[in-house]
This record gives sequence, C-alpha cells and structure tokens, in this order.
Amino acid sequence: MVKEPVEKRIDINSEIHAKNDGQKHKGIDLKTVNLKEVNTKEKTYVDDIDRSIYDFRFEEKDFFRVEGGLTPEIVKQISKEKNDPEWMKEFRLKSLNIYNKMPVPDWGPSIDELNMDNIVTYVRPNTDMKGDWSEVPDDIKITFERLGIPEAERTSLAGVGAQFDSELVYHSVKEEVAAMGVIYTDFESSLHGKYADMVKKYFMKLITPGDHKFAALHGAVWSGGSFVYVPPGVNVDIPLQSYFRLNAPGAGQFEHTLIIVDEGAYLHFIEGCSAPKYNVANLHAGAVEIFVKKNARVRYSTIENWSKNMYNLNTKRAIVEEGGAIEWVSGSFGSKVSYLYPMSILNGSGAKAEFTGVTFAGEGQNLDTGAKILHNAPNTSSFINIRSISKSGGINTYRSSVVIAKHAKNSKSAVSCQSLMLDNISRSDTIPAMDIRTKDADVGHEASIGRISDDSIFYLMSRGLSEEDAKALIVSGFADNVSKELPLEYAVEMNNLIRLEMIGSIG
Amino acid sequence: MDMIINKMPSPTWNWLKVNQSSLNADILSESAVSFSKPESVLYESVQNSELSEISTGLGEDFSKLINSKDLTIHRFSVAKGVKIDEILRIDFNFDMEKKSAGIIEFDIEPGASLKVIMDYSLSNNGIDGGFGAVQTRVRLCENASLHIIQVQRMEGNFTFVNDLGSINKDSSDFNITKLLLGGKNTYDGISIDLKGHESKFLTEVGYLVKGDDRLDINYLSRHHGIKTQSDIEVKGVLKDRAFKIFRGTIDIVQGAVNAGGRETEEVLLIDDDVINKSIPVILCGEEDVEGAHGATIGKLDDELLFYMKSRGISEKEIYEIMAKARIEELCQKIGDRLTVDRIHELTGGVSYEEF
Repeated sequence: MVKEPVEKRIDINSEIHAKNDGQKHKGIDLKTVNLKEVNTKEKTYVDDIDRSIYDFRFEEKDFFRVEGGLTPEIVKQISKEKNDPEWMKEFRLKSLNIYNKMPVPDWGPSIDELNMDNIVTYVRPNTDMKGDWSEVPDDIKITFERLGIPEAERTSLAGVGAQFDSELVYHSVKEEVAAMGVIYTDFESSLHGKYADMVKKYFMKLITPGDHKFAALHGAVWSGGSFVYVPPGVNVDIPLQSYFRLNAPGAGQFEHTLIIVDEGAYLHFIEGCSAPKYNVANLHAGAVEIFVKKNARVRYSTIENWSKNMYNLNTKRAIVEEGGAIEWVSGSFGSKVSYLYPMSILNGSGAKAEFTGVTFAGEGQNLDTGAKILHNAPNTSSFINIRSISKSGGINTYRSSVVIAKHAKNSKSAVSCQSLMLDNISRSDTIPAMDIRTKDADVGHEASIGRISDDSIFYLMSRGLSEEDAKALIVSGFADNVSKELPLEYAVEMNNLIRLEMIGSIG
Repeated sequence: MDMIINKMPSPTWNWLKVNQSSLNADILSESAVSFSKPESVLYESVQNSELSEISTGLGEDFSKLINSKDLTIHRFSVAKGVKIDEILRIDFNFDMEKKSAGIIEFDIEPGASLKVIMDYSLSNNGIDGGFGAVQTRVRLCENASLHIIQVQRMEGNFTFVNDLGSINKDSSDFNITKLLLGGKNTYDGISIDLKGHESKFLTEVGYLVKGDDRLDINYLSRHHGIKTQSDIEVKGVLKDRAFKIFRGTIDIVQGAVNAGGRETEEVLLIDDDVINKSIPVILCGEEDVEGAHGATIGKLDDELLFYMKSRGISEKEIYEIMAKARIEELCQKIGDRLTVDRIHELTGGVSYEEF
C-alpha cells in the first residue's frame, strides 16, 4: 500500500491528536495512544517495531456485539444476523461440535491465556457495506485512510475489500477488471445469488473443520472475507487487496477468503492486517482457501502486523492442479502468538509451490511460522525460502513439513531457512520435517543460525556508515527475500517496519 | 513394559508421527559380553552407579526399565593423564531368541584417552523375535578424549536398542563412529551434554537398512559451555521396503557463547517402497553462535549416473557401488582390520588382504 513517510503522517495526524482524550473530531470521540516522535528519537537503544502508526482506535458506538464466549445460541445468533442459508447454519453448528471435542495443540507456543469465554466472536459496525469511500462512516473511513488503503486503491490496485471487525465495510472492483469476468465480492453476498452453488461446492473443502481446533472454530463463527473467481485465461495484472482491521477489544476476527483461479489465469492477491493494542487478548482465526486450476498461477502476499495482544491462529491452504503454481509471500511482524503455516498441496503433474517469508519476533512475541508442502503428483517442485529475526526476548520458531507421496515421482524440493539472532535473550528454533516415500525424489534442506557478522559491520563502517546504520542495512538486506517479491509500495512499508525496529541498535 | 522412547525435545505436528516412538519390551536376562582390554584400562563390575541417572537418547522410560533389572554395570576407567594406544574391544553377542541387556560405563579421567570398539552381533538362527539392549554411559573429564566405534552386525528378526548418554567436561573430546548394518528393528539414541567449556563432540554414522527393517534414531547434542562444538554426520542407504526416521537436535542453551553446532544427513533411496523421515532440529537461545544443518535425500545425481553408465556400468550396479561406498567411507576411519573384515563379511566389501 502507498504510505506517506512516517514524519509527514505524524504531521497529518497531529491535527487530530491535538484534540484527543475526550475531545471530538467531526462528532466522533477520539482516543489516541502513545504516538511517538520517531524522527527526533535518540539512537541509543534497540526499539521494537513502532506500531504507533497502527495503534489508534475508535469507540464503537451502536456497533452490534454478541456476548463473549462460544455456545450454540451464539453461533445461531451470528448465523441469523448474517442471514445465512440453512446449510451454512448447520455447517456452523457441526463445526462448533468438532471444536468442542478437539484438543488444543500441544506442540506449539502456549495459548493458555486465551480464554474463549472472554472473546466476542461477532462485532458488526453500524453500517452496511459501501462501494464508495465517501459513503463509509467517518470513523471507519479515517481508519483506512490512515492505513493508506483508499490511496493505494486509487494508484495501484484492481479492487479492495476493507473489513472492520467482523464485517466488510467497503468493497469495490475496477470496472475493467469486472468486465473481464473477474468476480470479487464480499463473502456474504457470494452465498446468495448466482455464485451460491460454486461457493457451496468449495467452501471449507480444502480447510475442513476437522483439520484442527481453530479451523473448527472458524467454521462455527466465520464472518466477512471475500470470494474471488478469475475466469480461464484472464490475467489480472494489477493486484486485488483485502485489508483486515480489528478495532474492538477482546474480539475475534474470522474472515474467510475463497479464491478460485481458473485454467491458465493469473491473480496476485494482497492481504494486510492490523489492530490497535489492548491489554486484553484479541483472536484472529481466519481462513484462506485457494484453488489453482490447471496452468493457472496465483501469488498471495501478506504483510501481517497485528498488535502484540493478538493471538493469530490463521490457516491458509492452496491446492494446485496440473501445471499450476502458487507463490506465497509472507511478512510476519505482529501478534503476541502466531501459528501460521500456509500449506500447498501439489495435486497435478508439474504443479509448483514457492514460499518466501520473513518473520520478525520482538519483545513479548512468540511467533511460530513456516510452511507445509505436500507433493501428491509427479514432476512437482517446491521451494521454501525463509528468514527469521529475533530480538529483545522474542521467540521465533520455524516449523515446516515437506511430504512426498509414493506416486510423486520425479519431485523436487528445496528448503532454505536462515535465522538471525540480535541478542542473547531471544530464541530461534528450527524444526523442519521431511517425509519421503519414493526413491524418485530430490530433497535438499539447509538451515543456519547466527548473528550479524562483525566483519560485515566493520566493512560497512569502514565505508562511512554508522554502526546502527550498518546493522539496519544488513537486517533489511537479510529480509530482501520477501521485499523483492512485493510490489514496491509494500516493500517500502515492510522495510520501514524493519528499519524502525533497528533504529537505536548498537549491538 | 510399554515405553515412550526417542522423544524429540521439541515436538512438531502430531500428524507427522515423528515426535516419539513407542516400544513394548522387557529384559529377562543379562547379555553375553566379552572384552579384551589394554592393561592400563581399569575394569570393575558394579551394581550401582551415579551415572545411572544420566540423560540418554532413548529417554527416561528406557532408563527406568534397564535400571530396574539389577544388571551388572561393566565399568571401564582410565586414570588421569594415561593415554592408551591399544584398542579396548567389547563384544556383545545376542541370542536371537532371548530378551537381554547390558550396561557399559566409561569413566575417562582428566587428560586421559581411550579408543573402544563395541561390536554387536547375533547368534542362534531362531525365528522368534528376540530383544537386546545396550546402554552406554560416559563421563569424560577435563581434557580427556574418547573414541567409541560401534558396529551393529545383525541380520534377522531381532529388536535392538543402542542407547548412549554422556557428560563432557572442559576441553574434552568425544568421538562416536557408528555402523548400523541390519536388525529388524533398531532404536538408536545418543544424548550428549557438553557441559564443559570448549568440549567437543563428533559423531559419524553410516547405515544400511533393507528388507522390511526399521531404523529409529534420536540424537541430541546440548551445548552448555562456552566454545563447545558438535558435529553430527549421518549417511545411509535405504533399500527394498526399509523405514528410517532420523531425529537430530542441536540445542544451544543461553550462555553457550561461541558454540558451534552442525548437522548433516545424506540419504540414498534405492527402491520405491522405502520410507524416509528426517527431522534435523536446531534450538538456539544464544546470540553469538553458529548453527547449521543440511539434508540431502533422494536418488543419485543424474550427471553421476550418466558418467558411470557411459562407462558400461548398469544402474543397479551403480547404486550398489554407491551404497557400499558410503559404508566404506566410515570403514576407513575405524583403523582396525578385524572390525573392517567383520563388516565386509556382511556387506561384501573387499578385505584388507584382497585390497
């Protein structure tokens, strides 16, 4: 997304923030928290990622909220509020049943502090979905303006879906893209009307409620998200984007994204997310299902920057048919706890998957991320390239699986994982697994862990850089596996996040 | 007794079925063991030992079982400063129909050094599935060095547990060379505690798993001291319907500044019904370290195949040559003719005389 430089954004906001705490702006109560003067900070110590540009929130007057907790009555209430077809209501209740029977994972970061009784699973803004930003209520519009979404839409996107808490508040697709037959709608609409049968056929068939506890939770309380269909042979040159903003404290966001890219087509889909920080837990248990048909190609890019009270238990999965390709580009910078492992099922001959990711775990964060690949057909190939950075007590775990089935002859897989430790109070763990069941496969895996080399810093300093600039440059370069795959605006945002983190780093 | 064994210190997804293994086994007698020791090596047989609580690769359940059986502990020690050139040989010969176990301890005092060859073989051609186990416990004191060579030569319906645990003090040097050749079900575990500063550990393992045999490995090298080094190198071949799981963990604890841990695995898959599972893990809680692992799994390189075929060698023969080459590579490092000849009896390699 297009971002103005941080300093200028502060200037724009100062007009609003001069009227904070009990004051009003255009009739809306404002509360702002800890807006830092980044451009005047002394460079003497390591900072966490400066989230002040995301850390604002608005009161949610007249928003509809269900009670906290998870009961069949709450699930029925959500289904009724959303005007679900009957099959969806039954699906939700069955998912709730599965959720109640499944155990919490015992192999990852602790989520003991997440108490579902305190999570509000559905918060509906006091507006319906609009197709024009001028019709979106001011507080919500300001939110997305500050995040740069409308501007990005004007300059570089083919369509945008903006979700605020549990519902989409804005959705549009450029006319020329729609004219090519591309469908990009909010998910609720897709359940009724002419795509209803298609959606029913595909919904939660790739990520089933039985997969794990939080897939079952998603099946019970999902809300919001998008449905995308790209017809055969259509090249959507400009990306579509969904942006998810969770504003309500103690709430959950459970958007469902269903993407079907038909034969020979191409799509780049970008996902962004953020939330203000609260002292209570928020939960994100979204789902992304991507169906890549024969010879089609999909790129799915994400910059995840949830606040540090967020439990991010997201599930993403793609199934790729013959000759198709899925490319995941993932930057994970936020959340208190993350469980995130986009999975690619290579189900047709010649299918490919590529995963490029960077994860930055700072103070108070325990980020467990990685990827899963299943080679389920011959001549398939996969490549995983991950970088991770840990600082200030952050815990970073890279977890992956590469499974090559017996009939996946002539499959190839390469995994590369590099981890950078910036101090000795953080952790970086690498837990890859390979399960190979045919002799006719080539699998390579490498991983390394270490610190920034003194020689590299010395070299850069001998060329005139300060020590902190040298380190910032090295860390930015370390994450370039992701930044070079993103559209320029997003790469700039990602590098800004990294460099803000590194300001003041003197080792 | 039902046991959980070979448990990974850091579990992963349960659906992969790699976090641990289970084994139902019992020990009914003491294994037959013979040894030939250099004069300077001190031997005593004891019933109790402070090393019985040492952490081993198989884990607590197995240690509990073996400690409950009042087995003789065969303790070999080397006095301070004594460097022994001659090899200590320890031969275990397991009866295929029995369920037996043995315990070996090595106590190497400061500045001492010793080389040991432990040979595991089978006798009696019974068809019932027997069980055998050896637990090796090592205390390596300051500046001491120990090289253990373990050769497992077992073809037949037999379950074998080879367990090892070690505490390594300052500047000690521990080297384990293993050749795992045969056995219906083999469970192999190593747990090394590099407690001392600048202590080192190297293990080089070669295996050949064929038929319906299964090999289940769990190695853990834990770095506590400063400038500790560990190196785990595992190379092997899977044929027919073989199953192999390798769990290798390098754990660098906070405070182990300048530690270095490296893990490499190469697996040659010869037939289509094999199953290979590899989980090379690095756990790191310290900044100023170097940790790395790499794994290469699959078939032979196309260029190598082309080159050798162009010399008139069939693909089947090429794979047999390359499989033997992996074993030969380790044989070169053993430095003992008797042991190498015993290996070649099993693998069909060339004896010293023929060579």
